[in-house]
Amino acid sequence: MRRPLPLFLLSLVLLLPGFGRAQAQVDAVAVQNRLYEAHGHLELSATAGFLVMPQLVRTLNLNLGVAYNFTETFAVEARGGWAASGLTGLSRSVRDNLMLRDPTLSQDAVVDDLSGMWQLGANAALGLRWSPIYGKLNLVAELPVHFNVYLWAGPGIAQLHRESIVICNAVEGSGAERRCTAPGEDATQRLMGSFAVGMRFYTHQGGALRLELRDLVWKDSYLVDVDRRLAEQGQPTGTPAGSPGLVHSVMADLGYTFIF
Amino acid sequence: MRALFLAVLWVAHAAHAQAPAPPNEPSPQPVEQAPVPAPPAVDVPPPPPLPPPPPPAPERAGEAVAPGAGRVEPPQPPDAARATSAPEVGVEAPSEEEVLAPIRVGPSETVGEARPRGELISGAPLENPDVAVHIVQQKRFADRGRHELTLYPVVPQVNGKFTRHLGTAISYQFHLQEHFGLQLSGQYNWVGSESDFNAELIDKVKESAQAASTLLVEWGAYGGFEVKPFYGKFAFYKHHLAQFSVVINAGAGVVSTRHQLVPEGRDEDGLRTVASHGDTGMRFMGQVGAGFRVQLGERFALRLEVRDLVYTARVDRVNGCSLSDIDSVIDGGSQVSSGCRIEAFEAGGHRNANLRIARDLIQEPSSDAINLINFYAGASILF
Repeated sequence: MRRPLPLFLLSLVLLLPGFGRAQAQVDAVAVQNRLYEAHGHLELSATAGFLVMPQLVRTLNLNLGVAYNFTETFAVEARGGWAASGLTGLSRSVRDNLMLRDPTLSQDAVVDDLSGMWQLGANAALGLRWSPIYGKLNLVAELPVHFNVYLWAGPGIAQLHRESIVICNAVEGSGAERRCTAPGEDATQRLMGSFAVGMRFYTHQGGALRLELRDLVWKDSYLVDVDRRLAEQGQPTGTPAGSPGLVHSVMADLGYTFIF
Repeated sequence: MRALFLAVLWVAHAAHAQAPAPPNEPSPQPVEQAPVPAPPAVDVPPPPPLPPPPPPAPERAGEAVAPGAGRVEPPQPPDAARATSAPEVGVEAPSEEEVLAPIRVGPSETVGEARPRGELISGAPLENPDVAVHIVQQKRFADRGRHELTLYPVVPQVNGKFTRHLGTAISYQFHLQEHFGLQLSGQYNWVGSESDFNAELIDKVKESAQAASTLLVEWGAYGGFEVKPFYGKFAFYKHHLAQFSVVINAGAGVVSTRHQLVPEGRDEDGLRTVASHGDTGMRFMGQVGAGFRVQLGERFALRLEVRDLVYTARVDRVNGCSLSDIDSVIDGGSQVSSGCRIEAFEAGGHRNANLRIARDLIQEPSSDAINLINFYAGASILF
């Protein structure tokens, strides 16, 4: 009987490395060669975002975006949005409590206005999107979901409106019935920065579900040393704060992207 | 025959050495868009027994290498086109084209056997209707029965409206099953104070959140379970592949709470003074969380999680002292209930201020359900 063992071992030596490489090849090809490629595709997105942690102001931001992927990982995107904003219940409660303290009786006659009171309106931004991560997620046995993770950054412009809770230009009632009928308001446009991290889950070749966390940043401003007695008479009062800082509106956005 | 066999092996080895994964290689066909039935592994009849090995059979010893897992291809019928120069062995020999063609071996195939009909696409027999190829097929690192120790060096609070926390956490998981495990976690917050927003409300408009809403967590310990329902892979810029899983955990435990009394500031000499706190007791706590776990090799993993610690908050005692105890001490008395630790109000050298603030906190009892949401980024070691 001839000796099969040496040939058997030789075959193992020659072929076993191939098993490892083949497995790695299957693994690498399964993820590296993307099922959904972005290069050269135009995209149209619609998203809705809300403030993650509203304090004195609440915001709901609706956006439309157009993007072009000039490489597989880089894209330029233009976004335009309109936000519905207003005061939170906490803000109204603070204002109502402050109104009960009559400045004409030297009760908190001179106060500083609160920071972070600017409310977002119409807004637009142009930015760069970088998508270095592409992967698959096995939701159920037969349903792998492709996704990518991206970072987004760019400048923009925002229409802002401010409703003060310490400056009141007209008062009705007295004592426990004292209330403000004309809060101090202001409006301006400011440059803003827009930064986001997000994920896109592809539903088919022509679309993807989009989840992102976006931070809209603009310079804050408010008045200090506000004489409430002058304000209630409709007279200008207060001086701009020296270092007001920045307003960070961190929003959670959910939307859908159509890929053409 | 021996020389032919060795030639076949050498060709196979050379083909594997050259097997590339070029960047511009076309994407594999979307298998998920044309699903094939799951391999009927149970129903596939066993392959017919091979004929008794004749003397030349050892040259085909490659067939004895481990049978391919999931191999369900029925045995190939004798085919005149596949007749080779060794008809005497009773086993079909590959044709000349099959011998000379480069062989790609996938995980479901057996080495040395005649290749299945149909083209192999990226090593997978996608044309075979009896084979279902899962793109995310094989989990490289098994977790079952393993222990995992995770350190989260910095754990910041992410929903800091009235409070601000920053701490360190440690967690132990035992993976009972591949997708289920038990966990024990502990956390200590070395920064716990009222937020700048709450301080601004107090400073400018003399308003503050209720005492229960500004309760601080000093430390917490909890145990529970963790599930990993989803598994996936991702590539960073096509060159670095990593496996990850989505983790969801839940548990219950206790937290030690306290409340800020005198905030940090500066004394008459301009020196910075630290904040003083009053102990408000232990609370039962529930925890839910979710995140990602990226495995780096056999022994290491990275975790990114968001966890919500939920506990009830009620401030009716500070340092174990009730409202009557504090009033008695402020009025100069010394009779207090057992459990009241008056000496704790000496903290920071602000005894009188601490007592007054504590009385204000307790005078209007408040309660709330607090959600302390933290972000956990940590590294694990598995053993």
